[in-house]
Amino acid sequence: MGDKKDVWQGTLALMVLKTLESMGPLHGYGIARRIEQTSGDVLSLNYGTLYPALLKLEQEGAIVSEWGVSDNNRKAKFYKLTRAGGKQLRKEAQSWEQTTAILARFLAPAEE
Amino acid sequence: MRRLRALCIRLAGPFFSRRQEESLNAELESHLQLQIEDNLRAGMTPQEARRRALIKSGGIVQAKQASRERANLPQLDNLTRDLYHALRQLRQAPAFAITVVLTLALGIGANTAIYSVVNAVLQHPAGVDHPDRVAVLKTRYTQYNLDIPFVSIPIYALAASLPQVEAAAVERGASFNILHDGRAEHVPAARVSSKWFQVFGAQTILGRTIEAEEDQPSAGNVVVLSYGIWQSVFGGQRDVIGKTMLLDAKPYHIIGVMRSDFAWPRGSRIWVPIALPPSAFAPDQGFNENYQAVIRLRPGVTLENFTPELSTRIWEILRRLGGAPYATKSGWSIYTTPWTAYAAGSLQRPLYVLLGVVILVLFIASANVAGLFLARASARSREFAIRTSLGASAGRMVQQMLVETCLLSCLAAGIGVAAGPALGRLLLLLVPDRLAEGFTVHMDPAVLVFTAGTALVTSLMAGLGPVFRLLGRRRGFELHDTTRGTTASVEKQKLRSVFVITQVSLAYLLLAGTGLFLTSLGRLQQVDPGFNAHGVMAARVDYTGEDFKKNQARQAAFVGAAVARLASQPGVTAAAAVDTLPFDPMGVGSSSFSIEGRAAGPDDPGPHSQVNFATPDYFKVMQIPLVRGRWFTEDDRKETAPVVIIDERLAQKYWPNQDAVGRHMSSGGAARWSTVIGVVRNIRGSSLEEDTADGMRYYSFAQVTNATANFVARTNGDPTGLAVSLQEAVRAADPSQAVSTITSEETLVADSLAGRRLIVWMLAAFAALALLLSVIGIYALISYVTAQRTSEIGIRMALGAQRSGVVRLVLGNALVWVACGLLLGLALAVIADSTLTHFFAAFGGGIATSLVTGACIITAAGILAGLIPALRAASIEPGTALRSE
Repeated sequence: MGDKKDVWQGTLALMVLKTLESMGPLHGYGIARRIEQTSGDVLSLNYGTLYPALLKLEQEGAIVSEWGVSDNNRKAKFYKLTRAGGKQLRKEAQSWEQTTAILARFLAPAEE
Repeated sequence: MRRLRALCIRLAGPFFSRRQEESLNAELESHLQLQIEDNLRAGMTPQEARRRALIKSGGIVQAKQASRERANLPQLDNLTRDLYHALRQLRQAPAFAITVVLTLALGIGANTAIYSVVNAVLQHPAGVDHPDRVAVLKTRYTQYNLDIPFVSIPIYALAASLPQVEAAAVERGASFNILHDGRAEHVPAARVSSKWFQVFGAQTILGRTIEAEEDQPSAGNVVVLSYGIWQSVFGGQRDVIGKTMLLDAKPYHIIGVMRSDFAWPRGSRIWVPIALPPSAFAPDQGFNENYQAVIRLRPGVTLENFTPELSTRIWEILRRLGGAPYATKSGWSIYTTPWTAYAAGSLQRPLYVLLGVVILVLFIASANVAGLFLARASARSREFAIRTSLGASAGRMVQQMLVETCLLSCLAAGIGVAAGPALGRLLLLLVPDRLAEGFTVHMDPAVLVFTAGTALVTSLMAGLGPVFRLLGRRRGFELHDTTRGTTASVEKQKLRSVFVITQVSLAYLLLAGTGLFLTSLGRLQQVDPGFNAHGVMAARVDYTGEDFKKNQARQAAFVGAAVARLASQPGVTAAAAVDTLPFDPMGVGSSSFSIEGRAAGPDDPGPHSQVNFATPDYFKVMQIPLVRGRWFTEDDRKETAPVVIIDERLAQKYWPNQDAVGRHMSSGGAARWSTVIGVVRNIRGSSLEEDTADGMRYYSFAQVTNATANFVARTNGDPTGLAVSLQEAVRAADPSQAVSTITSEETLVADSLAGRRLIVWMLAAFAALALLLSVIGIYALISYVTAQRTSEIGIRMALGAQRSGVVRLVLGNALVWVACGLLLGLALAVIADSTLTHFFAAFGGGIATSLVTGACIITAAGILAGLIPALRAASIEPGTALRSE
């Protein structure tokens, strides 16, 4: 497991928001699994990283939480994207794309 | 916006922490279970599934801590925890907490009290809007040594016309007799120009103030009432506006009632328009300084900028109109004083001294509390050692100590805020009315800020000692520190010794200061004013009725009859009337005069002196000795040749080595010469602190028309006991006239020293307080050190030390501190003495007595404080002491 990458806090918030947007309401474990799968199991999320990030997003009003029942009948806390969260996602996704595009141009080998 | 929302939630975090914690636990548990189920589905054994899930999820405790830190603000959490801890600590040591709070409350309360008075008098007097923009115009004649708080009307008009001035007004004192409950009552009043109230920003509670049209000679009479007279005469009726009241038997329309917090000029109970005639503005009135003028500057204009500008404009006009030569010769100039400083008058310096004194008291209280905290810190050194070894950081422990001191000083500040202004009001009651009337102490934001500031400074000072030691000895924190086998020496209590020495030196400074002020007061009381005030009654009658004020014959008959009746009373040895009493707070008038045959040089402004008018027995009543010539007699009347008596100062100035009697002089250029018939001794006219007189001319009371008569009578008994007889004498002589004030000349003289006396009393009280605090400080430290040394003393005594030797050992400690404190205090006292000499008359000199007396008192107090612990130490049974370990 040593080769798995740790997640940078700022990008984790973006990943959580994107996950909730595409998957709809989801519990913490589900979010973690989804992010790991999407990353092709390169990323690994533990409690200490995930839950403070969820709390922060909730405090900022980007997501709301509610206790519910999971697919396999287990009690779990479900997180849902708010309208403010959706706006934040679009804004951050856009700025992230810009940043990566710029960096990509810098790092791309010269084609001449 | 998002951040703000998050911050608010985190701030509120501690209040929900329990529920959040449970929710987080459940959430983490469900996360774990979901993971395990997934692992089981992937075909792992239950054990393996659980193990993998735990590894994958990471440390539960860390996750919880990270979430907790995110859920609220950890710094705040620490603070609340410290606060609870401090409260618990203090509940366990109530005696300590009460001592500290009371000590600090004394210091903070005294500061709040004095500051509330300083604020009410010097910074923000009630009822006046932005007092810092209000100023008084004053006139100075350097050649005559004159400094008067009045200006002439043309000067006032010029100042009022300048663009920097928002509003300007003039006032001239007046008084009216009114009918109240069927009797004539005398009411102090002021004639003011229409913008008077606007200058002060003073508000009415009913009606309005004076309009410009009403301030004209031809306008009808209107009057504005003070709150006091509205209550006492009109019973506070709201329909009083539009009614008519009789002032000196003339009808005036009531147009307004002022708020209770405005009464300026001091003591004024009604205001009427001054209605200056156009002739008052004529250029020839330029040097006729008879009016108090006040101005309100526009926002942003300072007196420092305004005064030179005013001066420049005045001189331009003087040069154009031809007044410049006289102004130059007489050293004439106009200047401005902030109104607050003018209104505070001789109260100003005592207040600043007292503010300095209470700050010293606060230092002493802080030092005392710091000592107590150090003692407590020593007792708690085991606790700190354990906490340090468990990993508490120095910063956390310092924060906790400071939280404790802040908590205590907040409690003390609460007491200070509650009691301070009340004490301030008491303090103002100690001050004679003529200095303090019109000032009201009230709680306002400035006082609150000041108290909060002192509380903060105090808690920092008191808490800093233990903190320093905590930091300094951190490495030396050993768990065995307070266990057996060691002996606490004075060496270990170095910081506490410093606090005790500081306390002793400051207490000594206050004691010596009290002595210095007391000496100066005694010296001032010994100053010979040139007359004998003892046993002299003084009563004032302001003439009522226009015809009476102008009728010289009626006045002469009235004064003659009243004086004769007064003189015939039992116990009265002599009675007289005079225009102005010595030491009358209003001050005595002065004017220029000319001397027959005296050639004036080109730069000579001409003779000038103070003026008074007296009946024949005045010199006998006041016991002013006659040097040459004769007194006035009953024959010096209106119809006879005008006469004048001068004092020695004038005689020596204008007729050195010659006889002044028989010379002729004339007031203000009038053609009628008065003959000098006598020369009397100089007297002090207004102050024992400094001799401001520039000579005095006395004219015969019966030869002029007056506005006022002050009756004086010398008695064998209590002068104020004459009040009834005097009122009868006045009524019998003319029923239309009424006595306005009755006092004794001795009171007038004593009141002139009221400020100095206030300092002495307050200083004595604070010095006693400081002494008490230092005694407690010494006692506490000696007791503590001696208790720590019990076993050492036991060993000494077992080895044969005498009990007297033990007493000497312990007492020696106390005396070393006292000696150090005295040396430091001595230096401070000498500095204070040489500084205060510049500000207070009759100060300095005789410092040795004060210093020695103060040193004796401090030493005695030190011995007293050390003796009880010393005797206790000496009564130690060596066996018991050694077994106790």
